[in-house]
Amino acid sequence: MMPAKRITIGDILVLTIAFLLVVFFALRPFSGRAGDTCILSFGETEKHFSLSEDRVVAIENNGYLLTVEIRDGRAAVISSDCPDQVCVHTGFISKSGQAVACIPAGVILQITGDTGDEEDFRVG
Amino acid sequence: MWAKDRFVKQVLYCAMYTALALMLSFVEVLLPLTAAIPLPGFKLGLANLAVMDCAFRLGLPAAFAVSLARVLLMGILFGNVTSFFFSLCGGITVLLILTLCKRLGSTFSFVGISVLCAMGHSAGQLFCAVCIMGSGMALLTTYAPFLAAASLLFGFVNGLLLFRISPRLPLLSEKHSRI
Repeated sequence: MMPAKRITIGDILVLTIAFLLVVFFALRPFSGRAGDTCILSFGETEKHFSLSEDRVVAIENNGYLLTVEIRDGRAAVISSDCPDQVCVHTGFISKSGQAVACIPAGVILQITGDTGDEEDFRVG
Repeated sequence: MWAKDRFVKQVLYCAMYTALALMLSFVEVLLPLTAAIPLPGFKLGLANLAVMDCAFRLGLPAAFAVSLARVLLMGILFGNVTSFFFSLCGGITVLLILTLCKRLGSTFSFVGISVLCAMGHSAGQLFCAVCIMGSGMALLTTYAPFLAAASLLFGFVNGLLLFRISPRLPLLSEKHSRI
């Protein structure tokens, strides 16, 4: 059985739901309040840093070297020798629930804040 | 004799679809898309065109074979172990969705099916990434928005392409493809 030869109601339904999903996802990160802690996880390790103290952290994982900077209550991966550089392009994050991920190196930098945001975050 | 003929025909068509899927994958490798949008797993999904068309013309087992052959060949030619498992997860999800779409008959046209498949492909890859990396939530919230938006856009464009192309394929018209 071949699919419908013309655009069906099912198609429009799929497109609408997909569009709503994208809008929902797009609006989500901006609803969070400013976080106060960042969690740096790689491999089995997880490290917590306060965002109020400025510092630079170097991490080596999966053979890649990453530099994470915490400055003015924000955090970012400022340099990485991974091939795609997604983590570096993401830039500084400061809102609770936001995260930077470097897939090749297997490193995730995540912001957490007060408990209210945590609850909101866990739903998804 | 007749049964053997049908078998040969099926193998031949599968090989053609595999070649097509592989070629479309190769086009994706050639396009410097990752330079423009630096996100891994961000692809046009052109190879899905061949798999989707195959699923409806030759049936799901053939589509499964074509998809698996493509993933294996791409893994050997261009990929590494990680990208192989990512492709495999995406490919399996797409086949599950195609099974569902075939059950639903003519509820969707290729546009709807393509968007569903693109979304499913991304979801499958994300699932694979979560399994590999262990810490799920952060990855989901960072990547899901980009992947969902890309899937919608590229799924829609691919769907429109297939919607126009598929009825016009002369060699594999429904008369020929009844095997």
